Amino acid sequence: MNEPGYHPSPSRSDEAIDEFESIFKRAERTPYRFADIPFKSIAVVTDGDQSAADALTANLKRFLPHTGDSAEWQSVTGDEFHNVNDLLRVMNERRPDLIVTSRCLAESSLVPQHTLGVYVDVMTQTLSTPLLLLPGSAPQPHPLGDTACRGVMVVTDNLAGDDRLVNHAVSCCDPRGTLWLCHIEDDLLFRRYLDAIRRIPQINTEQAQELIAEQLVAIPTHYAESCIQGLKEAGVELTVEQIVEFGHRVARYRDLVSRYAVDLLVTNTKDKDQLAMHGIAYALSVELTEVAQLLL
Amino acid sequence: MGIFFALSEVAGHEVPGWVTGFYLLVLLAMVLCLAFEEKIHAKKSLIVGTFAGFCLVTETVIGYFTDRAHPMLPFGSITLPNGHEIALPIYVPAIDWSVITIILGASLFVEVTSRSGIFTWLAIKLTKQSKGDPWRLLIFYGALTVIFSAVLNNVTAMIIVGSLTTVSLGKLERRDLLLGFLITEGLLTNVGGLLTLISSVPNIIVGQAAGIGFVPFFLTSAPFVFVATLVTLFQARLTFGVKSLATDEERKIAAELVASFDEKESVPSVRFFWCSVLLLLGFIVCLAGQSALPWDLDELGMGFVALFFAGLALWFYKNEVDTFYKAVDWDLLGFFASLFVVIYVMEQAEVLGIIGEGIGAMLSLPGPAAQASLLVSAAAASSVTDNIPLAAVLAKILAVNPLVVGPEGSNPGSPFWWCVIYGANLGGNITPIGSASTVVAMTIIHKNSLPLTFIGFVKVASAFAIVQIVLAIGYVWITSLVL
Repeated sequence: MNEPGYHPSPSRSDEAIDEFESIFKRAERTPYRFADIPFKSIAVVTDGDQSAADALTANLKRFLPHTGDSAEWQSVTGDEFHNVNDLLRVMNERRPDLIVTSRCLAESSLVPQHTLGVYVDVMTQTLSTPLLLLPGSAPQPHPLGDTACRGVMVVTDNLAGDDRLVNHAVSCCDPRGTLWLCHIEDDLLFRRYLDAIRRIPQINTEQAQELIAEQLVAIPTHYAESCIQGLKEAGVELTVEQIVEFGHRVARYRDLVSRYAVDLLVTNTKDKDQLAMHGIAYALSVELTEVAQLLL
Repeated sequence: MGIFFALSEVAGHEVPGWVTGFYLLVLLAMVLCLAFEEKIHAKKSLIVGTFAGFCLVTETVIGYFTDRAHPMLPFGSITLPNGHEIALPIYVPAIDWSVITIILGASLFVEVTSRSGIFTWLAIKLTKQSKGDPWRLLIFYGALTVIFSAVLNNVTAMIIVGSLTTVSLGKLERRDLLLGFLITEGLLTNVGGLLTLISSVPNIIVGQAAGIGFVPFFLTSAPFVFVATLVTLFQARLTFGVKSLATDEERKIAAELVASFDEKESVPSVRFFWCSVLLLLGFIVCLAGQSALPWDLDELGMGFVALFFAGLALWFYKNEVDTFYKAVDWDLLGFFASLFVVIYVMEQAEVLGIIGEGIGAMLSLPGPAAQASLLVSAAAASSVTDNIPLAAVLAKILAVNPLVVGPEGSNPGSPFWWCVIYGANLGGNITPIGSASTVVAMTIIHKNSLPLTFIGFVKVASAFAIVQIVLAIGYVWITSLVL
């Protein structure tokens, strides 16, 4: 057992093995694989009546032209559920490929703010079905717009290898639209690690900062390039742009949404090791309420 | 080397039997310490350096008290070929500087040129060419190991190919094959180490002592290396169950996975990359043609060629040459230098003479039996301890044995030189401590948490080593008849 704080230096061969493994790992790319995501069955969940559901369905068909009339559209109206368990039971029976709903469903009397509401919260965590969150909230809906979804922004803190996220974004975007592949590295977290590195005499801080930042950006950038290439090869004619940078995630995404004509944000909600919704997804879904969001 | 022999002739002293016995024990103690280097937790240079210091001090003191008129260590000035005398401490001319300069120059040169990404580029390119098929990958990595061992050295070869194997088999989700691949590569480093005169230190030491040139060495060893590599690969296929992919679907997925490697990533500068290719070719050509260099340039020796090319390569990093100086394995160089001093002291104490008598008896056996026993003894000895002291001691002994060098005192074509070369290199494949590259292979194996003990390695690897040694015995015998 080593004494506390004693870290033996690696031998020359250990260092060399590590060096070459790093070189080969750096040469390793995560290739993007295109897959068409067909939403064959879509459930539109409202706390209103059938006419409200029909009007919303008509809007959605225009908003999602790729899916449009080819999907089977089902309505789940307010009289079909009275609590979360009712709604979950309905969803498990119908097993849609996509659920469309609003924030704060059936919570008009509570004047909710900065929350998704209990229905959406539970659905995102207990169902594996993607959930399209409409702009605004159930008590105060925002118009979906009268055009197709032409601007889709993929929002993540780990873009590399997330084919599912990209493919869902592609399936929601108008063929003439623009897809932004965004990866924002948390600069606060990075600074915290650098503070730790500054206290380690064996590591050159300046070099570590430069090299780690370079790799954190390079990995998603390479993947985004692979996405652009893969979509081109698959014949998808979207305009694809990549935004990979450091910053405060919520602030940066708010800034990006205001800067570009974004109609839909696509984000992951599930963490492998926790039940609560993925931090960035939750923060964005309660902060950026004016834009539709596809939660996977 | 001339100075080296001159010194021993100057000595002309009688050595009491107990002194020879004492230094024989000291030599055995040093060999044991090297075998248990990991347990002692001390670097080779320090272990052998301590023995060198101890030998110098004790031999000086013993010489003072036993026969002051003719001390065992021949202190005094050195006479240069032009007649000038120069005063040097006894331990300076005891070192074979031609070997040291080859190792220093070649390691510096490899260190700089490997920065160009030339070796990693080639490794990734071949990985992609394999299309992820395990059997083809084993063949390519095996060939790469042999080539890198020959051009670089066996340790660097194992590090490069072993690291890539870990990454690529991980990518292909075939970690079940990793252990077999790493063992095979470890074994092939010592086969590849036989290919050229500068591929391994025993080759350099024995080649220099025997006077074997770069090209004759290559021409003699290449057929054996080719056959031994093929046999090892097929044996590995059977032992580790490495099979080709069966279905088109499997082949497609594997090809896609390896295709995602980007070989350009490891090349920092295209200009330096191509310059390194040229330098490498120039280095090999100059080493091959060193004995034919005009205007007496051949007199500068292979060590100068290595240092010259290292110097040229360093100009690409002229502002940061110190980082390369730091990267030189000073422990290894210190070890060699100390080892030469120890062997010099042993020579003065007539320890080498005693060992030489035993070896002389072995060499007196009928032709093939003599060759086989020398080769097997060298292999057995190098399997449990460092093959460099072994090669250095045997080279020194064989260089004065009339059965080896003949009446003219020089016979580069003697098969006995090759017995030492094959034995010293291939013996490293019997145990994980037999050679530096198998030690590295074990390090990578343990780093990947693969279950392989010392005995486990011996069980698997000795089957390969026996086949290689039998092949070598046959090959030496055939070449002794043909050449």
